[in-house]
Amino acid sequence: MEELVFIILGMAAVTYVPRALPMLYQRLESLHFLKYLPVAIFSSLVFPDLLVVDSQIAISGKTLAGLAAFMVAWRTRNLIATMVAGVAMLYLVNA
Amino acid sequence: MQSLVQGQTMQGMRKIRMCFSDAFPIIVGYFSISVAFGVLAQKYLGMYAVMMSALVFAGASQFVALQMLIHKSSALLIVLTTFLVNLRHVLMSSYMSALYSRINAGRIKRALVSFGITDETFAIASKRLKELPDANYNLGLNFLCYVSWITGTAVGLLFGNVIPLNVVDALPFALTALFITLLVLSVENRVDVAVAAIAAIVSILLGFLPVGWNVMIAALVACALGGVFERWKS
Repeated sequence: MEELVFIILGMAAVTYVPRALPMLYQRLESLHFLKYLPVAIFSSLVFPDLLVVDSQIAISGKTLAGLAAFMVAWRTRNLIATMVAGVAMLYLVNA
Repeated sequence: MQSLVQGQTMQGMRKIRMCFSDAFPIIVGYFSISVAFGVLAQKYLGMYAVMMSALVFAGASQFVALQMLIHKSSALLIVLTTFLVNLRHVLMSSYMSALYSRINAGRIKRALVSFGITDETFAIASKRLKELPDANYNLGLNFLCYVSWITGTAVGLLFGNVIPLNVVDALPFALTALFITLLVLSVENRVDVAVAAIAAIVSILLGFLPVGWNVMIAALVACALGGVFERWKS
């Protein structure tokens, strides 16, 4: 169990450092280069989740749920409506 | 004087309400994912699962670490993998750092805000801080999400056997839906569309890499090309 504590503390340290270093020490105005970061991050988090299953490109329940979520997001521009639609669709497809 | 004080309280109330309403979707998503984490970790980590959620607070890496613990990987390898999975936060922290050049916040506040930077809190805060440049708002948002993450882990540990598995399976999709909404809301022009498309393609093609790496490389490549496209256009 002691090893487990050591592992968790190690994980905590290596997770915190990348989170904090730029916030604490970077003074340069890097906003311009990173202007597109949010769009790029959202997209690269979403699409593999919708289209990749076990390192293979595949249509799955998540693909359909994602399509539904995209449509609702486009129409309503509403976060909660999109979350409900996506989860409900995935639940129905998997049921 | 009276009205000024009242005005400030109203401001404060508005800020708190904004924290809650912005955090709400993440709270729901985090709660369901951390319940799943608690359920899965029950057998291998016991109460240490809560300790991990409290100290690490990074979903993907915790699931990866759990998987590695189950397969009896070495401690060093688990820590190293966690580092690689979470290295992408460097990008978000840099973006936040630039936003914070216009925000009045001391070292301690910045250090605390940094602890709470996740894909999800970054997604919300990077938008909201542009109109509400306030470190306390950011701290509040992160804190609410953090509490949800720890509470969910504990609930998963304690009530794991009661929750139907197909419900546990579908709920985490709430976070994907959250990113879908933010993606749709953030795409405003052709360069944005190009950046999103490049990020999607690169992250899918690099899907064989360890978790987190495809996101970081795809985001960097798409960001840089976005800058190039912008120059072409003008």
